[in-house]
Amino acid sequence: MSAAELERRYRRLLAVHPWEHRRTYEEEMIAVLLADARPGQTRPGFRDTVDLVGAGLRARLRVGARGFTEPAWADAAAVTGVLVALVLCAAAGRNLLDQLLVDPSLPPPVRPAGPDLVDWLRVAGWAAVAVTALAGLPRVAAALAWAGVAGWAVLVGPGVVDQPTYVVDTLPQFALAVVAAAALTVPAPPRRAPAVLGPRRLAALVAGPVVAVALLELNRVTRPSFDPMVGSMVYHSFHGLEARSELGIWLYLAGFAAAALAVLVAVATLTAPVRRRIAVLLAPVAALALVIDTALAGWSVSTMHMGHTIPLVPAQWLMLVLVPPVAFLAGVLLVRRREETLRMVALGRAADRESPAG
Amino acid sequence: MTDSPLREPTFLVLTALAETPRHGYAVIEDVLRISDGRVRLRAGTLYAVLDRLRTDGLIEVDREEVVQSRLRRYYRLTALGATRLADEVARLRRNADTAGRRLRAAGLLPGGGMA
Repeated sequence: MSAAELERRYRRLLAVHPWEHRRTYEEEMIAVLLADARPGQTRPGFRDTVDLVGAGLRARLRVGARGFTEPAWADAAAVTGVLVALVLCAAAGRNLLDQLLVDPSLPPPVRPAGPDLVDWLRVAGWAAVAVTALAGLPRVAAALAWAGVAGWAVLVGPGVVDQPTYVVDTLPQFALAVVAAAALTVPAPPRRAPAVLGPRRLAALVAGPVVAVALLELNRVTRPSFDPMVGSMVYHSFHGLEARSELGIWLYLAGFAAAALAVLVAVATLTAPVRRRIAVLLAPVAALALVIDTALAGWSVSTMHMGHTIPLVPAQWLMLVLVPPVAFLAGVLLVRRREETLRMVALGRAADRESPAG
Repeated sequence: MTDSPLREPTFLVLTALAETPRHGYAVIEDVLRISDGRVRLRAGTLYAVLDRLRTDGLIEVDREEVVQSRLRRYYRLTALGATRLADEVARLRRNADTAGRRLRAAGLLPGGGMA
């Protein structure tokens, strides 16, 4: 009677262990725990409780961590680290070119002041991250990427108080930097990204962002300038793109589509487990961008037109902080479930083949 | 196999199994005995150690019995486990010998007695 009660309580404590561990050891552990119990004992001892819960949690951590050391995660992290570094390098390059290539017809007050050291460092830094990652120096790449993350925290972070719009605008890039740094920190064999990608996909990943930035800059530099002497002139505009003819806009759009398609195809033709994990690694950034574009769109517009900044309420900051990790964890769980289902289906098929009905 | 030093519970579990295949509770009792009552393994810790040793191929299941409707699984040392334990013994002995020699040379070891 009391032994049954004690056993039930021990089983409840054992539930802290991951099910793989329980499946293998639960009966044995119950036998050991009951053999060790005092006569008439009905409740687990304090030390046994602490030991079981501690060991169970450690086992759960180990099982969770082991999931991330599987080759598919390492491969996905290696590719994501390089891809994100290239995108950030392109974004930094665009920012630099915006300030270097200035329309001479612009009057001085409207002209940008020219790039400063940080603008140059961003381009050089992310280029260095991509190059070192590809050259088989993952630790250097990771250290540089974390330096980029720290740089944002130092330079932009203080704006949380007085420039929330600026902070929120740069948040997706910051999230990308964190993803790149974390992905490059995942231990992987050296030069893994080029090995997984192969030369053609790698070329596509490099060319995509470069072409996109080149097109944006080309469009900006060749933008039809407004000449008050000529008066009105016809030009077409689409989401910031400007051209003298509709065909021009379409050509630009085709160029962007080709660049995006090159990157998408390069990633989509990787093996399914790696492709899925790359999507999971990028999910936090996508979710963050989505939240900023939707949930914070109203705030963004009002703070722009109010004449003074409207601070974000704590719940909004909390949302910005929580959405990326939640998106990542949800992605991890989805990948796990999906692959478990695929495994079960494969097992079922194999069993069916071995023993045909009838 | 890693050459990092074995932790004490791991070392004692391997030592317990080096004598004869044992089931979980017998390992706990033997470890208590060979450590002079100092190390009392609890079920959570014991099975974490056993699981890791099995994964690393240092021990394996010898046989299973059902005693009073309770499962008893006996574990035994593998050849790899024996090698690993022997390596650890040699390492500990080298360290102990060096420490003893130095203490004796410095005259810090009263009676000069080394086991």
